[in-house]
Amino acid sequence: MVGFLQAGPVARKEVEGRLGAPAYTYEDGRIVIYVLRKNREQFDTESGHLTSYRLVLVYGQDGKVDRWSLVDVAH
Amino acid sequence: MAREMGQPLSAMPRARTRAALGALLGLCAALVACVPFPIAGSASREIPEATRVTIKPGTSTRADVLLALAEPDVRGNDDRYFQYSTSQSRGGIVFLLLLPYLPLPVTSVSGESCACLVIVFDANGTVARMRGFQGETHSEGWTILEGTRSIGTCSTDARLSKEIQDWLAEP
Repeated sequence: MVGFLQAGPVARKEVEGRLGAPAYTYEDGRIVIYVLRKNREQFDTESGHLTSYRLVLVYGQDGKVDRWSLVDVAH
Repeated sequence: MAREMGQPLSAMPRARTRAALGALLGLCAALVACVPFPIAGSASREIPEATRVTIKPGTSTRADVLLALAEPDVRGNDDRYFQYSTSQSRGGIVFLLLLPYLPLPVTSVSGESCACLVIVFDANGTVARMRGFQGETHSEGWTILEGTRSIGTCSTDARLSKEIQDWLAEP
């Protein structure tokens, strides 16, 4: 689910094609957060009781992912 | 007192006595089956100190904060400040009704408190100041009649909310 981010700069269009609309946006969409659920070492975007991770993406001025992190919010 | 037609005068008190006795026996059975279990202390969404120290006023940006902590529980107007809350349970007791294969929680009492990290940003989106707040431990409880209540949040601690608002109002 997040492996494509490790391949190199990814455009917003590709991110949204894979993950859909983000759950939270900041600074006019420059920073977005996706809610992820980890299920058997795989991530998906289904929310629910098991949801415990957030994928935070910061886009650069070129519209590509500049920085990102995966935050465990269960602990 | 009116008497129901077709029943002898002594039948009604006897029926009531039987019903009361049945209810009393049922209550006793339920109480005997209610077993207290300790609830271990826990915390939700703890912010590790190692993460917290990476956020530095004057240097860290809103993006840095979000990359480290994800979305806040409270966003100020225009994201002027973020508030992250952590609920902490000091443990307590839950009473379980031991039904076969299904232990049913009936009531619980526990100590709950809330801690908050509040981060204020300047107009450029850089962290201007930040502070941790600790709520008072207070009793939380629920019964099967009320339904499950989630762990208390900072918003239920009026003293803590006022302390945070006063701090945010400081220049």
